[in-house]
Parts: sequence; C-alpha cells; structure tokens
Amino acid sequence: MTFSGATSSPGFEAYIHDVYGWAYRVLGHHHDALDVVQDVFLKWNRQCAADLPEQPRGWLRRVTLNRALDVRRAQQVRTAAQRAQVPTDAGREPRLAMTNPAEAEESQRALRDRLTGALAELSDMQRSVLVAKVYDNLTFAELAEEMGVAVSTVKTHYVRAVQAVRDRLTTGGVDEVLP
Amino acid sequence: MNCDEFRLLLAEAWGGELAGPARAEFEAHRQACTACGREYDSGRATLDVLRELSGPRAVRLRREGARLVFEDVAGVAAPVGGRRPRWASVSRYAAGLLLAFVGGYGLHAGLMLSSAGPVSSAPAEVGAAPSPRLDATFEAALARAHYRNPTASGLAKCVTALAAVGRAGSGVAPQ
Repeated sequence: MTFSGATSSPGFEAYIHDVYGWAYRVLGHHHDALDVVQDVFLKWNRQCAADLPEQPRGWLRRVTLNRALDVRRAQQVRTAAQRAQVPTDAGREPRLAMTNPAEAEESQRALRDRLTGALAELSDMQRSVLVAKVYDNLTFAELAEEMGVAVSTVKTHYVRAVQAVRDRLTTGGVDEVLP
Repeated sequence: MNCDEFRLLLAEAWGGELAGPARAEFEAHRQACTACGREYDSGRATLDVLRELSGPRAVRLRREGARLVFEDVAGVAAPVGGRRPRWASVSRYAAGLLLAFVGGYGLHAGLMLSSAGPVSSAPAEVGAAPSPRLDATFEAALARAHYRNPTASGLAKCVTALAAVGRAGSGVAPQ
C-alpha cells in the first residue's frame, strides 16, 4: 500500500509499525488498520505543520486508538443494520464447542467487539496506559516519562482501566472466562 | 500485609513489575484473603483476554522517494489504495456524465434519422394516415414531449416521442 502525500514529517517512520499494531488490535483487519495508519499519517502531517507533538509516541497512540475506535463503531453500526435485515436463527440449538475456523473467527470477532466496547468507555489516559502496558510491554516508568506524568498516576490509571474492562466483560457475557 | 497495602501493589502485580520481598508478601496475602485473591485473579484474567486478541501480521515499511510504502512480509500482495482517492470517484462520475450525454445525443440523432427517413420517402397509403390527434412525425412528438415536461432530460423526451410515434403508427391515441 502506498500512502500519498509528502513524508517530510520527521520521524513518522519510526512509529508506523506501532501505529499499525495499535489499529490492528482494535480492528482485527489488515486493510482497515492500514486505512487508520493513513488517516493518522495525514493527521500527523497536519500536526507537524503546526507544531511537533511533545511526546510523539504517546500522541500517536492516543490518536490511533481514537481513530480505530471510531472506525470500529461505524463498522458495528453497519453490521447491526445488516443483521437486522437477516432472519434470526433463534430456534437453533447453540453449539458448545467451536468446530471450524469460521466459528473461531466469529468468536474472536465477538470478543474483539466486547473489548473494543470496553476500551471505548475508558478515558484517553486509561486506554493509552492499558494498551501500552499490554501490547507494547512498556514499564510504568517508561510510560510516565512518555506521558509526562508521575509513575503513581500511571499505575492508578492502569488499575482503573483493568477494573473497568473487567467489569464491562463480566456484565457483557464473558464472565465464564473470568473468575 | 493488609488488604489496603495489597491493593496498592495491584498495578505492579498485574503489570509484571512486582519482585523481591514485596512479591512474596503479596502472594502470601493473596493466598490468605479470598476477596483480594479474587480481585487479583479477575484482573489477571482480563489482561489474558486482552492478550488473546490476535496481533498484527508482519509488515514492513520502505520509502520510495517522498512516499511511504507498506508491504506484507508474507508476500501477500496488498491492494494499493484500500481507500480510493477522492479524485478517482470524481473522475468516474464525470466520465459517467459524459457517456450519458454522448449516448443520449447519439440516440437522439439516431432517432431523428430513423424517423425522418421512412416517413419522408415512403408513399402515403390510403387508410394508414394518422388522425390529426395523433403525432404524425417524430419532430412533432418531440415538441409535444418538450411542451409537456420541459425539465425532463433530452433522452427522456426522445423516448417519450418515440413511444408517441409508435402509438401513432399503430393507431393508438396518445395518453
């Protein structure tokens, strides 16, 4: 995929794989994630034309997650509208085990829907801390430096984010996987 | 360690940064206190669920002049432009309009020729002449179609006129 537009923005290449990874975690689809990368890249260019972000990685993570969640919400609205037109199979017996890749993929999609719903309800800071800790394996000290806040603040956001996602999953029907 | 001290260490424990004597104390309290043990386990399970989400596939970035090119490492050809640029849709729309205009003009010209030919060259037959109420020629039908609906497209007027001429030829009065 080629991104049109000048790449005069300093340093975007250093973060592009991270941007792609954050978008992919939320969207679970290669081309959708690339679309988000493109959007973020354009926003980065605009931002750099005005003023370079003080903490580029943190800025990119926040912007990417917000954009990916917007895309995800739009997809869910479309999917819900399509499903509303399809007759339901409420009378069919539920299957107890996943027997084929299609079911596994459906299960993964449902899980991603619940998790992205939970992530969407977090504050920007909580979401960034959680994603950075889980997927980027940053330490609290690194995160605090990146975000320009105290380590204790990062820890507080992390704990609240985990608890909020847990509560959302527990009430959202995934409680069989949680103790 | 009491429950409050335990909660203060939850972030480090969930984040994998708890080590040394603090970890031993934390583990001891977790085993002893059911509520704290449940709190830790549920958070741990939540993080495991988050990690279950499939990760991104391997991609690589390269630079071609002033452009960024994103490639699939696995060799799967990524279609260029997951999202089409705006100019592409605009040009498609313009091309569609141009084709519609040319097609409509061509059809109009063709109908004029086809209707003018036989009418002017064929000898009039007794009994087959249309009544004064009917559209005798395509031009008259076209003028009538324009008079009835001046805002309609040229193509629509042509079709209406053609239908009127056809009805006139078969002796059916126009509606």
